[in-house]
This record gives sequence, structure tokens and C-alpha cells, in this order.
Amino acid sequence: MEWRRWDILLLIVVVLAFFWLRMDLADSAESLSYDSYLTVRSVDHIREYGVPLRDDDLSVANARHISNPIFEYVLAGAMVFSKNAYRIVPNLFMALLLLPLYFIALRFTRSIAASFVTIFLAGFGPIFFSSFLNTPSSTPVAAFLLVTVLALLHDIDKHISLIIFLTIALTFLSPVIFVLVLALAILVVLLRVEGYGVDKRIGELFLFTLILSLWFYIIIYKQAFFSQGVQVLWQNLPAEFAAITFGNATFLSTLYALGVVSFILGAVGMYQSLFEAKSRDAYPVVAGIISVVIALALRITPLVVGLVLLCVLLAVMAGHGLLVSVQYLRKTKFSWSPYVFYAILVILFILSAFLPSLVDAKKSLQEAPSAADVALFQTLGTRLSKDSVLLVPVKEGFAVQYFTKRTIVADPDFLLVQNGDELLRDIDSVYTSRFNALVIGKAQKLGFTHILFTRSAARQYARDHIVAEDATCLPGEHLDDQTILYTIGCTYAGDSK
Amino acid sequence: MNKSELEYYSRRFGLVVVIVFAVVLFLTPLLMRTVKGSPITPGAESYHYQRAADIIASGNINYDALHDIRYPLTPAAMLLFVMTIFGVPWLVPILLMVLLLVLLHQYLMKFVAARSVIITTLLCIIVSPTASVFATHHSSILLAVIFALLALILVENSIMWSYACVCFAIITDPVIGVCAVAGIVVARWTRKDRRAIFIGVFILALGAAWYLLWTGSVPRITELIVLRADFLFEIGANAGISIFFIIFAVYGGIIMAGKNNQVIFAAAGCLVASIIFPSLTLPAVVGISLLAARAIVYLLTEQWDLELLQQSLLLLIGCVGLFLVITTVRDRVNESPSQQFSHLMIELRNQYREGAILTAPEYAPVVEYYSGRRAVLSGTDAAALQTAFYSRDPTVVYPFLTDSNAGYIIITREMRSSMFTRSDEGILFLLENSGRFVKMQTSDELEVWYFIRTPQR
Repeated sequence: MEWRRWDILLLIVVVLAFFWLRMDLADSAESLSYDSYLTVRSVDHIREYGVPLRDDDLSVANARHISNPIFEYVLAGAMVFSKNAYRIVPNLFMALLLLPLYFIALRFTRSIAASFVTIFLAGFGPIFFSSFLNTPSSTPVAAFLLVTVLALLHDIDKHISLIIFLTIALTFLSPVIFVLVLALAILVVLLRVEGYGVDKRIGELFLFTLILSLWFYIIIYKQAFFSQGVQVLWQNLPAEFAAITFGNATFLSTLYALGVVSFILGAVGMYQSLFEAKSRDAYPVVAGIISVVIALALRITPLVVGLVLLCVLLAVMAGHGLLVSVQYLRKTKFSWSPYVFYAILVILFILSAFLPSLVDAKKSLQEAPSAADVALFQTLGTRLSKDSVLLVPVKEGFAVQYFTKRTIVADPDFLLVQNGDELLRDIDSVYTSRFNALVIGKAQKLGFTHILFTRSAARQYARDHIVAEDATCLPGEHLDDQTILYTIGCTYAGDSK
Repeated sequence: MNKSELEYYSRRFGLVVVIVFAVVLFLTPLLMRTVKGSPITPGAESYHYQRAADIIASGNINYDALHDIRYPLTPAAMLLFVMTIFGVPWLVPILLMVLLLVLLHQYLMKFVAARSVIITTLLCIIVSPTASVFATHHSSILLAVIFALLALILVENSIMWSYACVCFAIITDPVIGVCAVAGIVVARWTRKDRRAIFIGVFILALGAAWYLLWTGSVPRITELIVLRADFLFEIGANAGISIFFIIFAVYGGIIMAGKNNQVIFAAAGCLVASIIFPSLTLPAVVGISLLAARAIVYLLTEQWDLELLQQSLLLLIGCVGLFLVITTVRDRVNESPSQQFSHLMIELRNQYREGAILTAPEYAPVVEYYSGRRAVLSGTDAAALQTAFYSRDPTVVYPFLTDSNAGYIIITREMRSSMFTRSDEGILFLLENSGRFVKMQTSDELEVWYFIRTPQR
């Protein structure tokens, strides 16, 4: 009993240390990530008017946003307590996620050491550590709820009320619920195949959750489903954006994202628990892993979300895999070697998980707008008249809208946009065209009055200015060493304004 | 609710409640359309049948002067003609749907013991998006399903009457007719009724001969088969099957497995076939509703281990039903033709300039019905569609428009979003920039252009 108290205390210390480390890193960034600012504007809208942002006056192409507003309300509530809630909420839940993970691992491996290894492998999985540091996304909360439900499934008799409550909460919070629904279905099949008999309650929970989640998301995204059809599953993103979001994950990139140790030991643990030990305790986690892999293979979950979930669940299997490997070593001639094995694993862990996770975290924070960018956007907002329309690279859309408070042509929310591919092509052609007549034509078509050429545009289009620049029709003004503001000075016929 | 209570209420009030509910639900969108000023019958395809009925009424019987062809006189057109005489053609689909529900009630009573399952099946059918479409649009499919169902009901009593109904079903919709023959042959096969099987094959041969005599051409299988990826209502298929029905049908199938496998196989077969043959969507909905009803009645009468979830799920089923009803009613109210579109077509009827109308093929029946002018594209001619809409080359487009005697081009908002990926694609570019088209009318819903024809060399 005393021992148990000690391990819980250590767990709390680890979770707090992990939270502190993430917060420290997140606070080192001067702003939130580019994608965050639609959520920020929606939360501000809730705080001001009580309802989330739906009709957006600051966007020409995406004048209407639809999304699940529950998490935005949660954030609006959290903002009452702290102005830093956009960073605290995701990082807190990423740290709290280690708690249910520890208990799953403890229940499954019955080893405190292996359970701590599990939470270290998960916590420092490169994709896990570097994601959602400065992005107020519902995914950390959803991942926490998902892992908690999977942890509670080990003892369904005792926790059924809590399971139902958390499942309903997850349904209303994030589409990650469909991963849980699929996991429950796979769990039923696994239990049946392995001859444990089907627990009727899991089947009932599956059916209820499936209907509830489908109904809820069809109601929320009804307008998008009816107008865009099955494309909504991929957020109706243009092909170029869809490839980035839903990704072409290769074996090597997945290995890097999850961490080599997690991957190898996880595979060993999974094989052993599925085909040799046939442990019932492993099935909820295995079902979770299979469902995430299916969702990733079908590309119906964003790559980052899928890999974060996979990283967490695979770490449990890796904890078990470590035990199995050590037990196996002890039976061989190399029974003296566990300490060498541990040393190799620690070195591998540092090289393939710990260091990459720190590097990736720094890199992802650097991708956010810098303080200079923010100041520039704010100055731009005061300089431009209210009826100005800015063309900016789509990726930066939300941040420019937020800081300049001026209308832009397009932002990364394509859900209700007709012909998103055409829109993207038009924007690309403005930044890459050699002819100012084409740029002026696009300005009339898309309705913009200014073009902002930013650092990220320079990177994306591999040039340092718009080639079609012209002193009369497309005069450019350097706002800083790399950012240029172009003003449309002609009409399509070539008349000077 | 216990089983006996549910059975009592189902036997006592079931059918009456179903009919009243159906009539109210199907009349609501039509009344709302009238209030809105839109033509009462929704669905562009409906006007194909309406025009066929008008042709009969004009004394031409089956001669279509607009296209200079004769076409087979179908029972659907004749029925519509009769109702047109009484001035209520819009009532035909509702009456037919109620008749279908009553016949289905009688048919299911033969082999489904629980009346509650039958009543729930009928309620499921009523709230389904497919029924919402068939109960408001004019279509030959509903009539064909009724003939097929009559044939299946009569097969036990009189094989001759049964086959008579099959003949009508084949004339009305060949796919459903063939399925009805298959159903009868399967039903009689177990009894080794060779005479019935022989007659079935004979009727199929007769049907084929009839088709060939009237149309003079062999039907291409590609015309019958339309492989659809979007057969689900929730992802945009207007008359598609709701995903909730499919989930409950799977649950019902699991409950019924081993007890009534024929129903499961028939429903699954219809569902798969409906993806290929859209005509079979209505029979598929009937099969799926039967399985879903079994699941719902199970939820109402049997106890789950997690009773709280069971109660919540029943509440959720009500919410799903409400969602389907509201969505389908709203869809029917906003469906084409709109007031603006029909008024514009009537205006075009009175224009002195000659010329056919080029617009998307799905609008062809409405265009022809209201404007009295020929629609340039009315079929599934992909090459013509490509030439008419997707080419920017004047040397291709102008001769095509001249040869097809096109005088007017109508581009609707839906066409811009569904047919074109660029705002200056194909004919859209020519309309704006070539100088050969004059904009006659424009609104947020549609625009009309006049094509200036030049004398051909």
C-alpha cells in the first residue's frame, strides 16, 4: 500500500513536470499557431455575443464557418480564469493524458517500472510532444477522454456510469468519438473471435454512441454534407491542402513521428498479447490501435490527430513489449544482458524520441507568427481602410484576419467553399504570374485591393517579390525586409485609378 | 412499454394513425410550396409525366410534337391524365403512396406475426427521404412497385392475376417488373409450380418484344444501370437511403439472424441492387425499414443491460425521425422548379423569337413543360454535354448551337456550382466575352442569354 502511494506521488510529479515543460516551451512562442486564430475569434465572439462566429465579415470566399462549438464554449469558460487558457487547456490535457495511460499500462503489465516507461515513451513521442503546444485544439481533451474510456473498459462493471458520461462528453467534443466507436466494434469482434463471449453492454454502448455521434455531427455539418457530399470527411480541402492535412504518411515518417523504441517494442507487445498471451486486458488498447490505423489508412482522420493517438496507445503496448523482451532475454544465454539492453534502449530513446521531440517542438513553435509579424499585421490593420480586401497566403489567413481586423480573400476553412481548387489556383497565379494584367483580372474576380507578400509566401513560392510588380498598376511597398504590400492601382482595362 | 400493450395499440389504431400521419406529412411540403408561390409539384422529372398527360389530353395520345416522336403509352401517364381531368394531378403521388402503405400492411400481415413491427415498418417508410420524394414527385416507379406488390399479394390466390399485375409492372418500370417476376418464380420454385415458372419466363419474353416493338431499339444496359457512389441521403442523395436506417437494419438483422434469414437476404439484395439500379431504392427502403422496425420494436419491448442507454436511444430515434422529417420537408419546399424559374419559362413561351433552350439536362422536363420549347439536352448524351458546356472553342460551340436550333441559354446557380469548377470555364467564358450572347435576364438564381445566330454558309 505504501509502495502504491509512492508510485502515485511520483506519477503526479511526472505529470506536473511534463505540464511545466510543455508550458515553458509554449510560452517561449510569441503567439499561437496560424491555425488557432479562427478559434480565438470564435471564442471572442462567444464572450461578446454568447454565440460562436458563424457569419464572417472578414472573409470573401469563406463567409460562413460551421464547426462544433462545444470546445469553443469550454475555452470561453476557461478564459474567465486565465488569459493564457489557449495554451493551458491543450497542454494540461496532454499532460493529464499520462494519468489514464499509466493506469492502463499498470493494469495490463502489472509493473510500475514498465508503466512509467510507457508514459515516458508516450510523453516524448516526437509527434505527441511537438503537437498542440500553442494550438487551442479539442484533440488533447478528446484524446484524454478516449484513453480514459479505454482504461475504464478493463472493469466495465465498476465504471459503467463514468464510461457512459465520458463517451457522451467525447461525442459532443470532437469527431475523435468515431475512433472510439470503431474501437468498440473491433473490441466486440476481438472478444468474440478469442472466445471470451461478447459483453452485451459494450455492444449496447457501441450502438448508442454510433447513433448519437452520427446524429450530432450530421446535424452540425448538415449544410456542408448536403452541398459537398462525402468531401466533408476531408473537410472539403483542395487537393494540395488535403495532402498536407490527411497526409501521405510513409513508413519512415511514421516511425520518426512515433519514435523507434515505441514502434519496435509496441509491435512486439502487440504481437505477444494478441497471438501468444491472448490477454483480455490488452484488447481495448489493441482495438484502439487498430481503429486508429484504419482511420489513418482511409485518411479520414487528420494525420497529426491519428499519429498522436497511435503514439499514446502504442506506448502501452511498448511497455508490455519491454517486459516480454526482458523476460525472453533472461531465458537465453544472454541472461546477463538486460542492463545492456536497457542502456541500448535508453540511448535509442534519447536519439530517436527525446531529442527529435524537443527539436520538433522548437520547430513547430517557430512556425507561429513572430512578435515582429504580429506588430506588422497590427500596423497594417490601422493603415488600411475598412473596405480594403487583402490577398494573403491561405495558410496565414486566420492570423491576418485576427490581427489586422481587415477582410481577406480566403482562409484555410474550405468546408463550405465551392471550387476550392480553383480559388487556390487563382491565389497561386497572383503570386507567381509574370503579367500584371492577369493579377488585375484576378483582383477584379476575387475582389481584393491589396496583396500581402509575406515571409511564408516567399518560402512557398520561392521568390522574394511578386514578379508582376509594376510602379503604376501594382506598386509595392516594403513593410519590413521581407514583407511587401502591393496595392491594385489599375482596372482590368489598364486605366490608372 | 410491454409487448402486449404495444400489440394492442398497433392492432387498434395502427393503420389509421399511419395513413393520417402519411397524408399530413406528404401534404405539408406541397401546401408550403403553394404558399411560397412555387409550382405545387416538386422535382423537374415530374414534369416529364405531366407533359405526357397533357399530350394525351390534347388528343395526340402518344405523339410528342416537340420532339416529333411517338413513345410508349405508360400507365403512369394515363393515370396522371385521368387526375388532370379532375384538376388534381399533384394528388396522384400521395394517393399512390397511401395505397402502397395499405397494400404493404396487408402483405406483411401474411408473414410477420407482430402487428407492432408492421406499423413501425410503415412509419419508418413514411419518414424516409425516399418516400418523401416518391410521395410528392410524379414517377412511374411508385406505380410499378404497387403493381409488383399486388402481384406478390395475389400470387397465392391467382397466379394469372398475379402475372397480369407483373405485366403492368414491366410496362411501367422494367427493372421492378423483372424483380417481381423473379420474386414470384422464387416463391413458386419451392412448390415446384412449373406452370407459374413457365408463365413468368413467357411474360419476360413478351415484355421484351413489347419494348422492342414500341421503341424499335434494344435498350442498352448502361441506360438502366447508374452506378452511384452517393446513394446515402446524408451525403446529398435526394431520394437516397438514410444511414440511420441502414444502422438500425443491421441491428435488426442481427436480432433476426437465424429466424428469418430470407427477409435479411432480400433486404440486403435490394440495398446492393439499388446502388446499381436506382429504381430499386424504394423496394430497398421497404426491406430495410422492415429490419429497422424489428430493431426499434426490440428496443421498445426487450430490456437492455444498460437501461439508461436504451431509454436515451429511443429518445434519439425520435430525434433522428424529426431530423429526417424536417430536412425532407424543407428540401421538397425548396426543390426546383421555383416560382422564378417557372415564370421565366412561361415568359419564354410568349417570346416571338424561335429557338430551343440549352440548359442542364435535369431541367429539360420543366423547360419543355412550361416554355413549350424543346430542350437542347434532355438525355445522357455525354458528348453533346461536353460540346455544349465545356468547350471554349467558338468553332465547336456555335455550329452545335446553330444545328440544335438553340436560341436561349439558361445557367442556374446550381449549374454553376455543380457543373463547373471555374467561373470562366467553357460556355461561361463565351457567354461573357464572345459578343454572340445577349444577357436577357439575371438574378441570384439564374441567368438567361440569347444566342445571336448568323446565317450559315
